[in-house]
Amino acid sequence: MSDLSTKLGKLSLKNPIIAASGTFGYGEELAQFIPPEKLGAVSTKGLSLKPREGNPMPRIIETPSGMINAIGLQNVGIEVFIRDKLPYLEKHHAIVIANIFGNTLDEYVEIAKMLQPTSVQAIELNISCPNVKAGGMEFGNDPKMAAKVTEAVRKVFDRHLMVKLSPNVTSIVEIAKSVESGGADSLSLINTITAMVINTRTRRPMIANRVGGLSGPAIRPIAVRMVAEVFPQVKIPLVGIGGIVSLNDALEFFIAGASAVQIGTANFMNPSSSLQLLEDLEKYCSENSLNSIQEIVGTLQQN
Amino acid sequence: MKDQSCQVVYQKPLQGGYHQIGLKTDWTSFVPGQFGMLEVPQEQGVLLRRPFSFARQVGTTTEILYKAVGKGTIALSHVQTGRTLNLLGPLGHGFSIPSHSGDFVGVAGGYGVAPFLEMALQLQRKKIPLQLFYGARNKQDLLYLDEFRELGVTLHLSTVDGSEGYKGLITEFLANIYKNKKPDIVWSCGPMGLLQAVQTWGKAQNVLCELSVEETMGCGTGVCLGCVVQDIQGHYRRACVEGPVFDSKILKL
Repeated sequence: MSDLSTKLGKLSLKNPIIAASGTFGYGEELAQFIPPEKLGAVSTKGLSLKPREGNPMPRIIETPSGMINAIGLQNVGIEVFIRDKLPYLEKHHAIVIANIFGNTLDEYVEIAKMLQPTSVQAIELNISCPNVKAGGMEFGNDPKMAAKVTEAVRKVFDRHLMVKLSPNVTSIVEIAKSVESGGADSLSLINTITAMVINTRTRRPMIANRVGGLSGPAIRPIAVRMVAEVFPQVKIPLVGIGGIVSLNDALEFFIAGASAVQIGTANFMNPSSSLQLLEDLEKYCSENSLNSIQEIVGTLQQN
Repeated sequence: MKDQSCQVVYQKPLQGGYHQIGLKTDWTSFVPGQFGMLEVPQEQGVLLRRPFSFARQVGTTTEILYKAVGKGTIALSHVQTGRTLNLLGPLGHGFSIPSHSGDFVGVAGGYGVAPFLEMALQLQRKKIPLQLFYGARNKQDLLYLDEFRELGVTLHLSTVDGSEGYKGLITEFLANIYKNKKPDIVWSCGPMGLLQAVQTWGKAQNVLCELSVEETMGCGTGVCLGCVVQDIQGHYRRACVEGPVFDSKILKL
């Protein structure tokens, strides 16, 4: 069997398949289909300092080969996560990436401080959620703010720090470089793309929040392009996200420069899709005599 | 809850654009009100599975009633017998089924009638009578009537256009019949307006009502948080896990 293990800086993963934040709950919900320890890691639902109720309905709508969501970061809050949700993942020896979100820089720092004494192996900074009014988005849009929040969290959390980038920017490369200079250990990209669907009869947006984040295969070519753009410009590892369903989808991201990938919308389509992908990836490696999937990372050829 | 590849045992068009599809399952029972996430052919950019209430279980076949209205359900209506589709189920919490006789009332609107067929089957096995108030826009939209009559269900029908039964809303009909008496429980499934009317009536009459809500769903497994309903405290509850059947007293509809 081929070695699927992957290193993101100092963080070792048994394979390069990570459950994307917001599509895998807190790890227990889909355990019947995917034991969380089988994955490279699990990125939790976005966690805030206080519990959040999220946005009114309707929150999701299917679009051609994709979906728009505006959940509004409904979550149990960091305290309840640490007390009630984390023990399950610990018990199953899953690698946990706590995806965190703050309205202010201080909130990010506060949450990271609370995670420091826990067992979570990594933090994924969500500086790019399009569905909340304050906070996140402004950090993700502004290279200076993005660097500042990364630096601040870096100071209080000594394990792996991943920063999730927004595609809703003029230059993702510029943000990527700032975040790297702020001390990030890896970058995950991309978050969802701000999008809208209009009901032509009522002339109102179909999502209560007006806009939401587009995900799924529809955004994959954009995500692949962004990974390929960022890869030569930074030294830290990349984690590719965007509409990955099949083996070929994941391979595109590896070739573009991703050391690992996150599976999101596919978890909704089929709760065991990550395990299928893992199987296919193993098969691909042995059929192609790869000792490690890392051999193809960043091997994009020039035309 | 299981995710399985199910063979299509039958696929029958009914009147009014409705269809019934039978799927071979591992499970042999479900609670009326439970549902499944069914794969539909991924044509024209269709991505997600569709949530459908289970209508009845006969042996190892689960029947789903659906109306071909959107891209997904139209594609589903073209699926031939013998093909397999992935089905995740049975999901969620269904209606509370009594073990003793009483005055039990179902209130269905449109294809919200689906769970009441299994309900009627299960109650008939226990020799418990069911009163079903069933309303639709017109006669074409009233389904499973022969099945209900065979199962000994007392039917109270209404149509908005008066083409069958009481002319008007089914909840008005319910309120007329139950003017001077109280049922032990009311189960309801149908469009939001109907659920709201049942909730209001149930509160005024102090009758225990269980409502099955219909919401857009992404995953059916509780992770996408796309199908929530608000409770009276302002908290969101997931229709797919905590529901789809809720005590009407806790819901803010």
